[in-house]
Amino acid sequence: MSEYPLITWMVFLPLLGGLVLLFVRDADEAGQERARIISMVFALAAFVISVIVYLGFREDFAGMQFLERAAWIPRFGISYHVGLDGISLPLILLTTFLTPLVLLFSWKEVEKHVRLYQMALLFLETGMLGVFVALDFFLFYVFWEGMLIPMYLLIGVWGGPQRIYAAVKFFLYTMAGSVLMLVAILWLYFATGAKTFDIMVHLNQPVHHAMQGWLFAAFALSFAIKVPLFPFHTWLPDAHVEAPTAGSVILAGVLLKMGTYGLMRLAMPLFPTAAREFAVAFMVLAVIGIIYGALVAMVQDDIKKLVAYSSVSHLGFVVLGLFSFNLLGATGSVLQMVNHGISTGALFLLVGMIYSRRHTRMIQDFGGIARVMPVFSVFFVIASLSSIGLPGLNGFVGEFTILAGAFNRSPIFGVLATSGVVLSAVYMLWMLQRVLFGGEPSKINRSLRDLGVREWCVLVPLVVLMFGLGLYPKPILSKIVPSAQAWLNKVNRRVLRVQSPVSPRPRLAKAGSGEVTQP
Amino acid sequence: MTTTIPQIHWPHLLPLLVVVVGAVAVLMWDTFFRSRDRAFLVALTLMVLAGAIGITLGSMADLAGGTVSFGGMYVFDRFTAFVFVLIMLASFLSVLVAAAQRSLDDPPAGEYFALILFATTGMMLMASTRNLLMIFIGLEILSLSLYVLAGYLRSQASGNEAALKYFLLGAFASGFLLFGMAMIYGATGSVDLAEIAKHLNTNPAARGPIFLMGLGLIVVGLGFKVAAVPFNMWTPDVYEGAPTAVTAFMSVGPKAAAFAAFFRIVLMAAGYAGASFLVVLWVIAAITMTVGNVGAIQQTNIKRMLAYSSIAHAGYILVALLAAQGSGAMATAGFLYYILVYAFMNIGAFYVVVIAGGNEGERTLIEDYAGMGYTRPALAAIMAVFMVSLAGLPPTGGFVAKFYIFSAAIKAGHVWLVVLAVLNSVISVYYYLRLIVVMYMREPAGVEIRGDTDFTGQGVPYAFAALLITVAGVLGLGLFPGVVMDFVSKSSVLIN
Repeated sequence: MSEYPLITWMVFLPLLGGLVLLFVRDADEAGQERARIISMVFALAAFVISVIVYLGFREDFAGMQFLERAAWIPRFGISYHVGLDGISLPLILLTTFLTPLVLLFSWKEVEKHVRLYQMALLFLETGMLGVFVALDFFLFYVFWEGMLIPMYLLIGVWGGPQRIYAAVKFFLYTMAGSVLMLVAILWLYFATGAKTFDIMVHLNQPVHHAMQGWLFAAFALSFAIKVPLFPFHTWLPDAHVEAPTAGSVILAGVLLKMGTYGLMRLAMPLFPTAAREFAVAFMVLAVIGIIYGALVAMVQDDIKKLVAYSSVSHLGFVVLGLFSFNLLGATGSVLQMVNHGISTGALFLLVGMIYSRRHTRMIQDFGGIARVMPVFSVFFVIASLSSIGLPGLNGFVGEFTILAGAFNRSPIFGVLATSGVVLSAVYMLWMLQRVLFGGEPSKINRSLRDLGVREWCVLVPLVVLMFGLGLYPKPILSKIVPSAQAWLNKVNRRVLRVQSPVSPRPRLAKAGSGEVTQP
Repeated sequence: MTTTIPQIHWPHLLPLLVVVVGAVAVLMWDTFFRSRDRAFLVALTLMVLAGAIGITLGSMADLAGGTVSFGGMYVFDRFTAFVFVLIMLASFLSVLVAAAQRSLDDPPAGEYFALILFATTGMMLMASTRNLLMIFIGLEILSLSLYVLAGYLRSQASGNEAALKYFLLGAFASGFLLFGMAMIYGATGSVDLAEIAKHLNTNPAARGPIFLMGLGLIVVGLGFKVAAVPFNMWTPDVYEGAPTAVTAFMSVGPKAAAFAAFFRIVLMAAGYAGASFLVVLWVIAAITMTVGNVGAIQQTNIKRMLAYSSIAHAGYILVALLAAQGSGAMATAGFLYYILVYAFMNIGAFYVVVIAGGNEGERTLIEDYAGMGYTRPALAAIMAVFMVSLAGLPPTGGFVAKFYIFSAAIKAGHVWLVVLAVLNSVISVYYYLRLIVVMYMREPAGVEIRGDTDFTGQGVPYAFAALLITVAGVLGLGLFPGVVMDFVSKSSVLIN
């Protein structure tokens, strides 16, 4: 593969950009403009590198590619180990693609504390990319938690009226889950006797199934909160409603996927037996999430909240696909992660655009604005249809594949989940009807401007992708399938024979024995 | 009966001697020359400490196992050396803090710095002995200095209250400690930990209730010093009432010294106390973390908040102490790493409090920090780093330190205690981040800390030095922990 540390550059360029911004004064207009340009340059550079990685990605190889490895904390067997496969690649592309877009969107929207804002977004990008490429538990955890702080600032500084409450809630929920994962990671370290935090080593050496239950529970809880899987979703509507548009886009577009990615990369293949035992429970929760999210979305008056609840519903599909334990489900899940990022990202951006004009997001305040903002309305309709999963647009491909996988596994889950698709059509179309069409635009809405050039530039790439992935998903599917197949082999293996030096009980010094060991 | 003159390793006594002589010199200089030149005294104190740190580091290079002087009253092993460096580093940093706090000028400054050095001597004695009585003597030297320091601003009622409270409760705690030592002497016939261990090893009968009670009383005495629950009542009041520079000083060094003594006792003798002792430590660790964190949530004064936070951190270190039986060296190393990071982040946080107060006195209400992220961006960013580290979030030293301790505890089999500890750190995130909320998410309220006092006044070079050292320490220990980890784990083996 490549001799250049491409991944390291890609991950740390945004961080570097953020550090450069430390030396830019943003007291005046010119300084703010400089800060915006600098952060855009770094974000675009990361995107370019991710495209290079995409082009150099080998489809005939299911394992990790572009590996880089360096010792970091040898005493604990911790290394800086990064790489990617067909599961992480689409998510990385999504991240590097969305970040410049939200920077562009915020160009005129954010005028308060510009430098800090750009820094938070850039640090956030490094954190997210790091999570997707980390192949060492310690490194993974550092990125996983490190990314909370910029997100926390984004919600808390530039958010709505209840922003502080939402930011703290977001932080505490996520943190509560992830610290338990930390305990599980430490236990895994000592119990397996592997003396390494390398994820690849642990993946190839599954622990005895007697221990898998607790460990899986700790990992899965952390990721389920992030997804968020019903009933751990209560932080999400608050965070989404209060977050600034860019925060919502990143939150829905990428952060939630870190939960499903974590389930896929860590929780399930590390503890395959436990994952299979818990599968029905997860599928039930996923289906509840799909239907519940859709029903709650239906009754929202706030467009943003509606989109937020639709995320709960859509992410339920991803979890359903993963726990179907078949190739269709797994492939569809990865695809759906990307599709949801694109369509929901676009929806949040559109909501942000209308909010910045009208300073309200209430459905009742609008109506008939298709007449005054035709271009906006076209984009809004396309994004909504993509979110619903209309054939020909990207959402359809992922959802259809997942549903096929779920049917394969158990028709009842398939049937129930399909009702979620119907419901999503109900709440989205109903909302569209009330906002864009229903009746004459009110007096104040009649003066709304249609989209400007900058907003065009933000939306066009997203719409191109919606059609592109909807009509011809092969360029991305061909990357996903081999890795999904390899993943499936991992989670389907049986761990009955114990050949590795893995004992059912952790080999730990017994507490209370009164001995003082001095190794 | 023959009398043997115990061995004395003079070169290894050097760090201690330098600090003692330095303390006397600082005191005398002030007395005889009636010098009002504070800068000189600060420089002298810093030089003494830096010199002693240098000597200690130098002697570590060729230190194989360690040496025993005065028949065990003074032991110099790698553990001692590391704790020496740590204590003196903490003193060094808090002298930098004091140098910037002008209100400390009023009673002549010489006493202040001499007292700091005497307290440092006491702490070093506690950390470098396996003799119970020497631990007590060290503790008393430390405590007497601290009582004076806590009430150093004698015209302030809050300072007087703090000093008196600290003294009364501290005197009780010392009494308990001494009583406990007497009981252990009664049970085993020695005050030397090595002798005690030997005796307990050969005489199972000696491990009876008297020994256990003695150990329990020692836990009370040392628990008071480290502010473990339920011996923590003094902490918030004293931390709040004492001058901030003194609070910074007593939040780290004394804790390190008391824990060092604690570790020596636990590693050498407490193993014979059996499971009941571990249960006691388990419970104390659990409630200390919880009380500290829950107590910190409702504080409106930043010094009280940091006081409760220091109780919580004592709880985390108690987890390491508990793990020392079972995963020995790793837990000890974890403790050393933790307290090193703690020295940087905690003194750093108090340092920001001092600077934020500027020349107008102390600004200790959390509300005072509203909007500081925009009125004084650099200072606020540094404070944010300390808060993130105190909360134990990556990529700071606080995270690696917790990681180290919790690893040791899991290795020793205390999984549920670690679960409790990590949930506690979730609670702690709430109040540490609240400061970030106030600094960044609230607009300045008009009485805010203004930008024009940024790094002005007497302590400018000290301000830069201290903030630079502490921030670099916190981030360095978080991003590149490898080197220091090797160092602490080499320092975690105690001489017997």
